[in-house]
Formats: sequence, C-alpha cells, structure tokens
Amino acid sequence: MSRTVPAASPAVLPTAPGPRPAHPRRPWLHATVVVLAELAHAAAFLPLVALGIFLLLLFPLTLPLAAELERACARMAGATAPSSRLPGHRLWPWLVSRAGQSGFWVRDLPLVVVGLVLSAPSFFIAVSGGTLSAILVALPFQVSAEDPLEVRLVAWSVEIGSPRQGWWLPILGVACFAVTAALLYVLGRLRTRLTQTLSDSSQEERLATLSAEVGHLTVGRATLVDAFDAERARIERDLHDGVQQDLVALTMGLGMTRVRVLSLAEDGQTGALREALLSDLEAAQDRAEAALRALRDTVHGIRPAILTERGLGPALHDLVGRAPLPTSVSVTGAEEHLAALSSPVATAVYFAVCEALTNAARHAGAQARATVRLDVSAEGLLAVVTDDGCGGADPTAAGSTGLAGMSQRLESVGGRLAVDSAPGAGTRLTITAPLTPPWADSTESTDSTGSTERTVGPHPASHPARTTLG
Amino acid sequence: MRILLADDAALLREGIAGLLAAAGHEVVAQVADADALRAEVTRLAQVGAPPDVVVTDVRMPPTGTDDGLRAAVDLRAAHPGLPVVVLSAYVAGPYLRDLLGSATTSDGGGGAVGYLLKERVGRVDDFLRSLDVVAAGGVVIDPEVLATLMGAARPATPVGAGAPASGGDAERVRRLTEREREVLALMAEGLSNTQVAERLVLSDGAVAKHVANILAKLDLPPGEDTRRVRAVLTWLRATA
Repeated sequence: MSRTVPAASPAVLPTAPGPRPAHPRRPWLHATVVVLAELAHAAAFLPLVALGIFLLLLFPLTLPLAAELERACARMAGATAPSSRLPGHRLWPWLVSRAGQSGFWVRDLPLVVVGLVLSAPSFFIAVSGGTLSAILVALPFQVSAEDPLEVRLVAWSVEIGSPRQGWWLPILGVACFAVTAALLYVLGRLRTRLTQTLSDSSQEERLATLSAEVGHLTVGRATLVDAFDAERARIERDLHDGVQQDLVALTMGLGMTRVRVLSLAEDGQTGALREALLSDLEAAQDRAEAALRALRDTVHGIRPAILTERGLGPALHDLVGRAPLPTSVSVTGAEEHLAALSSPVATAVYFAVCEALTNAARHAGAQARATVRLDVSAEGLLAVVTDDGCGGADPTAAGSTGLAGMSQRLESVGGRLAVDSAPGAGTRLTITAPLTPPWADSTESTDSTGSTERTVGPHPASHPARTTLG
Repeated sequence: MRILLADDAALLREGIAGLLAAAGHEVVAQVADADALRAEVTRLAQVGAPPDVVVTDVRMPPTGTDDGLRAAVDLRAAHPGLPVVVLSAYVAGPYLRDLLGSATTSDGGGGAVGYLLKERVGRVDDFLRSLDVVAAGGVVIDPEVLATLMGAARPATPVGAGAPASGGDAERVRRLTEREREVLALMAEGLSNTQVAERLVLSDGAVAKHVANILAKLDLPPGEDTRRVRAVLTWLRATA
C-alpha cells in the first residue's frame, strides 16, 4: 500500500508550489487520489503507532519531515499546502533548525498529531469496510446447498443456499466498498483541509522572504565593499609597480647625469654651462622627489602596505605616527585574536580610525590631543577614538557625510559606530565589530546568494601572526 | 666594495648596478626575488666571499609583500653582522623595527643596517656614503623616515600602554632635550659630527658636547667603540 504514497523522499518535494486550481479538472481522479492517500494513511497507522516510541526520540527531525509528507499529499490532492521549507534553503540545515522555529510547534506538531489521530478511524474504516466488502463479494461463490449461509439482520433473516440466491451479495459488497471509499474520502478531505490550514505560513514566509532579502542586501553590500577593496589594492599595486618605479628610475637617471656633469672640466664656457646644468638637474631632482613624496602619500592613503602585511595593530601604530595631531595609541588583545581579524574588518576599522583622526585634527581645535584604543578579544573588536577638543560632532547632521560613510562602511562588515560628542566635552567614537564579517561564513552555505567563491579571513598576502605589539 | 643587489624591477636593478659600477664598486650578483637572495648569500658565504653589503628592495616576489625585508632579517640572523641596506617605497616604522631588531641578535653591538627610500639612490653621493657607513657597521636611516618617527615620538605618544619601545629605552630617550634629539636624528642619517655641525649651523665643539650628553643620558659608558651606533639604535628602538 505504501507505494501509493509518492514523493517519499522530502528531498524531492516540490519546494515552491504554484497556486493550484481549487477544483481539479477531473473530479473522479481527484477523489481517487484523496481516497488512496487516506488509505495510505490508514496503512501507515499501525506501523507509526508501533514505531511511535522510537520516533518520539527523534521527533524534532521526524516531525517536520512527516508534516512535509502530509503537505505533499495534500498538494497532490489539490490543496494549497506550501512546504514550510522555503526555496533555496538546504534540507539538512532547515531540518536541524526547524524545531527552533515557531512553525514547528504551531503547525508541524498539530498537523502530525491530528493527522495521526485521523488515521485511526481511517484505519478502522479501511480494515472493516474493506474486509466486509471483500467478504460480501466473495461469499456467493463460497456457498452451496450443503453449506448454506444464513444472513441475519435484526429481525430480517434469509438463508442463501446457492450463488444465484446470493446475487445481491456482491452488489451489497460493492455498495459497502463505496461507502468505505466515501468515508475515507470525507476523512481525506478533512485531512487536506487541516493540512491546508496548518500550512498557511504566509507570515512566516513573509518574514523568511524579508530575511532572505536582507541577506541578499548584506551580501550585495559586502560584495561591493570587497570590490572596492580589491580595486584599492589594484590601484595601489599599479602605482607602486608603475609610476613609482618610473619616478625612482628618473631620479636615478638624474643622479647619474649629475655625476657625469660633475666630471666635466671646469674652465671657461664649460664651467658656466656646468653650473647651469647642475642647478637644472638639482631642480629636476627636487621636483621628481616631491612628486614621489606626493605619490607615496597617495599610495599610503589608498591602502597602506603595513595594513596588508602586518595587520591592524601595527597599522594603527603607524597611522598614529602620521596623525596630524598629537595622538597616543594602545593595542590590547591576544595574538591569536589579532590574527583572526579578517582583512575586510581590519580595513574598515583602519579607515574609520583614519577618518576619525582627520576629523579630530580638522574640527577639534588646535590644542586637542587624541587617543586610539584597540581591544581585540574572542568576542570581537572594540576601537575607541577620543579627543579632548570642542566636541559637537553630529552624525545625523546633513553635512557629516564622513561619519555617515564611516558608519555604513563599518556596518558592511557587521560593525557599529557610536558617536558621543557633547559640545565642549570632546568627541568619543566607539567602534565595535566582529572579528570576521557575518557574511563571511554564511555565504558558503547559502547557495541562494549565488556567490560561493568569496574568500574570507585574513588577506592571503598578510601574515598577521607576525604582528608585533608594544 | 662587493655588493649583492636584490630588486624585482629590472630597470632599477640595472640602474643601481650601473651607478655602483661607475663609482668603482663590484656588483657580485643581481637577484630578482627573496629566495634567490637567500640562496645567493648562502652560496657566497660558503665559498668564503660574502658580500660587503646587501642592497635589497622590500617588496619582492614570491608573495609581493615584504619578502625582501624578511629575507634581510633572516640573513642577518644566519650571518650576524652582515651589512644590509633596505630600499623601500614606503615610510613604515614596523619595517624599520624588524630591521633594527635583527641588528641586536648577536653581539649586542648591532649596526650595519640601513633603511632608505628608493629615490635616495638618485642622490648618488649620499647613497654611496650611506653604503660606506653601513658596510663599516654604522646605521643609516632615511631622513623622511626619521621625520615620521619624530612625529610618532611626540610627547603625547608614550602615554599609551602600547608604546612600542621597552620601558628602559623609552625612559632613557625621554631624558633627551629637543636639540639632542635633533642631533641624534642626524646621527641616524649617517652624518659625522662635522656634517651635523654644518646642518644645524653649530660649532664642531657644540656638536661634540651634545653627542657626549646623549651618550651619557642613554647610559652608554665611555670606552666602547660602537657607542654612536648604539645610541642611534636605542633611540630608533624607542621611537620606531
């Protein structure tokens, strides 16, 4: 009988059922399916009760599967019973987490319990009705004059001595079969209705859709940030390998020319020419060096090599050394936690602190001093940038694009920025962030995002294990 | 001098080699990555002819990050006292700290290290003089790097718990006056007393007095011939 239950494996359950017609085109086929499904339930009743105790232990796993099976049956019977597993969710993670969702308790559990309770009458109707029908149909062929059959019904009784006399018995059997089927149909419809009601997960679905959308947006933003960082790295590399090298070669060429000019004889006209050449060369060399200095600052601003190569701690020390106002820095945290800091987080925090120090130098006042405190633990990262300047920074003000951008940048790696800046009391920026962005490990498992190739964790080229702290 | 040259940019490598050859030095080998640098120094040391100075770029293959610097640190650990001049496109304190850290692993005297920005090569005389100072066991640090370190060593800095230096060095360095720091910074550029006097427009005698004060304040007793180098190293370690 159990072979009449299709879609036995939930892995092949249709996950996104389209709206089905409420009234199937072939009512008889539909009714047959309902009856057959009900028969399957009836057949599964005793084994289920027998297995009940064992299944009970596994019920967080078996219950959602059983509920899914019910829904699949209901869908076959034409009901609108969408799977509680949303499109794009993998079976195993969904199954494991299902018991933690409210739908498990308010839908799956009642569905399976009531379904099982409904299976009891199905079982008795199917067994008694089926047996009775079979007996009634078969009886006339069993009776003979020697072995007559007495049919007694309350006050009415008849004795059947030959198949001809019992011609009406098979008809009665068929009628009995029809009644059984009708009863099963009613029960099946009842079950289908129930399943439909208990599958109405529209709210759950909406929530899940929204969360999926938020996930998409987060991943999308992360991808943008990644692309931005990759672009930074590319520009930095291009400048370093290209323009910077060319300028260095230029200064070297100028230096060599200078040496040659110096070796020229110093007499008469040559002497004057020599002096002029030397001063021209000096000027050219100065300009080339100035260009290199400017380029070096630009390259450093794009992506400091020290951040890529040594990690956040040394990069912050380095940053403070260049800060436009007197700044002190302290970095605390175990090596392993600093090493666990992923590149996107380190980059976001570095540029946030950089921006904070620039802001402090610009707005806090000439006498201001700043402090940078970085604390990295297993739970995450806490960076506090304070200055003792005039305060009054307002991240919600229309003009404060820097603070807003900083905040967004941090949010893209799962971090937060809090600004505490009462007028006259200095400014305190508190940055919190996880060691690795939240999208770092979820992107691998969610295939719905379409980006499974993201590399996360420390930059491949970085070796933060060598980070040295004061 | 016998010089080993390491840079992945062929243009610069050839340029430096030409410049050194013109100045009468011998470039014993040119290599383009950090592994080749390690191998070449090991080979030269085995045949009993180590280079007088190793000149290396910071950013090189195989990883394209600070391989050259790490090779330099490794080489100085394997061959104590090996003079190394690191050329860099960056002003980066941590690079300098690594290099200085490698300088004190063996005899305590340290020295024989240089950290120069690449374009300094264009100032041919200065560059050649820097090589001489390093080959003679001295320390030469690029003025621009020193300027950044001076910025980092502003009074606000030591407040942080993460001040990079050990307490002793930082404490001794804090005893110096502004003028003494200036003199020390010029000493770190590899300048002699006379050159320092010219740069600061002081008399030779005044510079000598400053230097004596610096040595005393940094607890460097008289009678040691590496005192100038050690003073510079102490100061750099406290600020880098």
